[in-house]
Amino acid sequence: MFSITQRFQTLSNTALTYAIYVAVAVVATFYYQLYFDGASSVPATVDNISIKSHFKSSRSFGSMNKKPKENTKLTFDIDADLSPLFNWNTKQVFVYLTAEYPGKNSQASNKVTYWDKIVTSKEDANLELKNQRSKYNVWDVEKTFRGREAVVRLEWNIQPHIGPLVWGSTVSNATIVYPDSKVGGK
Amino acid sequence: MSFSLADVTEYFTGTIDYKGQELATSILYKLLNFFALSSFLVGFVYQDIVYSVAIFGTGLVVIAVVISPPFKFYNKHNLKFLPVKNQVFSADTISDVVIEPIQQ
Repeated sequence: MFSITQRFQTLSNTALTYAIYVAVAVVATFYYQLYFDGASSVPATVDNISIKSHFKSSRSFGSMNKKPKENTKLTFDIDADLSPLFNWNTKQVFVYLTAEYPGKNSQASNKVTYWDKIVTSKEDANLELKNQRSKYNVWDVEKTFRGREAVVRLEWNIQPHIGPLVWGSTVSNATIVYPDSKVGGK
Repeated sequence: MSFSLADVTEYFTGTIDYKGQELATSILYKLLNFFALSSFLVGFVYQDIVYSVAIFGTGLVVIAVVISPPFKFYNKHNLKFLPVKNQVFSADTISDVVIEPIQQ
C-alpha cells in the first residue's frame, strides 16, 4: 500500500476475490429459486399431435444411394408456462420438443428433436401454440420408424448469466405411434 | 524552481506514510464489503443481475478514486527523524573526506 500502483493492484486483486464470492452467491440463489419455484416439475400439455410421413431419396433428407428414407414431421399443440425457469440469473431458455423411441435392441434408445424455440424473457415464457408445425424433418438410422411408439417431451435448457447450464424436462404425458410405413410408401 | 527526475518519480509514486497505509487498507475492505454485499442484495431484490454488475463496477471506480492518489489525510503522520546529537564534522572536515571509487 506504499505507492499508487501497489494500492491499485491490491484493489484489483481483492475485488476479483470478492467478485467470485458474489458470483457463487448468485449461482446458489439461482439454484435455490429454481428449486423453490418447482422448475423440475413444470406441467406442460402437448397434444393434438399428428405425424406426417414422407419418403425422400435426396441426400439432404438422410437418403444414401437414392434409397428411400422415411422423413417425419409433426403438427402439435403446446400449452406450457415456463415462467418458473426465469429468475435473476436466467439469460435465456432453449425449449425443444423431443421424441424418444426404442432402438434395435432393448437397451438402446433414440431421441430426436422436432421443434425448438429460444425464450428470452419471462413475458414470453407462456407458450400457447396451436397447430404448430415442427421445424425439422426427422429420419431414423433405419429406413423407416417401423411403427414404434415414442414418448414426446417438451424439454428445456437454461442458459444463465453466471454458472453452469441447467437441463430439465417439463412433465407431460404424450406419446405418438409412428405409422408402420413400407419402404417406398407402398 | 527546478525539478529533478527524482522529484518527478517521487511525485508519481505517490507514497503515503505507515498510518496512511493502514487507513487505506481499512477503507478498501470496508468499501469493498459494502459494495459487494449491496450489489448482491439489490440484484436479488430487484431480480436483475444488471443492477449487481452496475453497483459492483461503480464500487470499483469509487474505491480506486478514494484509495489510489496520495491524499493529504494519508500523509499526516510523517516520520520525524531525530536531530543529530553530536555534530562531529564541521564544514571543513567534511570537505576533507575523499570518497574512493570501489576497486574492482
